[in-house]
Amino acid sequence: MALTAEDMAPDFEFRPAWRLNDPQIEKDAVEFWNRLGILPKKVKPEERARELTAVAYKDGRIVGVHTARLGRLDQVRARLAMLRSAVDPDCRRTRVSFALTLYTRALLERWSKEHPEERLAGLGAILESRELAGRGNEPYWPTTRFILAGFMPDGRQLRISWFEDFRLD
Amino acid sequence: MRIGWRRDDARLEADAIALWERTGILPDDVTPAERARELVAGAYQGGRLISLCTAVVEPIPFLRARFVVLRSMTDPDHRRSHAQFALALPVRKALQDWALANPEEKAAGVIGFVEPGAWGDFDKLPVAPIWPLTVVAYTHDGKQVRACWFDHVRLDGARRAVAGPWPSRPKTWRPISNSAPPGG
Repeated sequence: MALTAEDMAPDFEFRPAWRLNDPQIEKDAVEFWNRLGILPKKVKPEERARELTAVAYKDGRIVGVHTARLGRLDQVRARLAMLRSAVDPDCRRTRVSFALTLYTRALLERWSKEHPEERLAGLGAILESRELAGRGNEPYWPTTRFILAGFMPDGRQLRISWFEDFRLD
Repeated sequence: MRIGWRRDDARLEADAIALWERTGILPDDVTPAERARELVAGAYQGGRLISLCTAVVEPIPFLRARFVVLRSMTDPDHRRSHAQFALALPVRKALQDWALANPEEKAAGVIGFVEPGAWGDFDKLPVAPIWPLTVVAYTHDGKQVRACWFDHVRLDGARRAVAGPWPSRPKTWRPISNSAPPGG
């Protein structure tokens, strides 16, 4: 049986947000970003909130957020959901980010299957080296199926995770 | 099935040379004897070699690592024999075991270039069955670039894969488009 986000981080509550326009989650996510002050100045929290895929709650407040933007990655000639992740520094060692990745992957894979016209092939991520402690030196992550597929000019890793049912053109 | 990678297997080499000469498949600038030194494995049916793999170890710049670059061919009379599938698992194990036993070679995985249509319907699968060769790029002329990292490989400092110095022009590698991903 596949590992779930709840198995991995049982102290957290995971909620879907992708294309739900859930005003409470969006409000809580904006509060999270403002509290941590992590969004670039040019990004409006309300705009970023529309890209929410899933969030993690603990004690009634958001402590982890995943957002995604859909776009074509020319390198693999496919449309991917490029993930961004943010976790409250107080929860960094709780595996909540990894659990959110599992949750988001399952959520978007299901959404892709339900919306074949979107031709969403999988997930992509560009990883900062500071995000990689431990697992980052493994070129393949079997649990989330992310494979190292290249590097950005500044050395960040490009990873992709194909959905199982997707078929290439 | 015979594994021949770095074993100087005289029988496999002779059978491979006979297959190449019979099918006339090698490019003019490659001699069968040279290519035979790159043999990884061969699949036999009724005592006759019908399918084989060869490889070279080369740097793959966009992955910042050295990879075993795999080529394969099947006797045209046995195209539907699934001989390549039979080779997949033993070849993967042989190459991974060799990489583990020879760390100075700094081979981080296996990579292959798949011509459009060469795998039939299987080339629509982003991750190949049996052996998870995964689409990680395309060449300019439309070949799929499929890679599989060896299980034991770890990246150096979380930025650079284990790798030796790279020559300026790898022998088999052609540059690919590597534009910035969306949202990057």
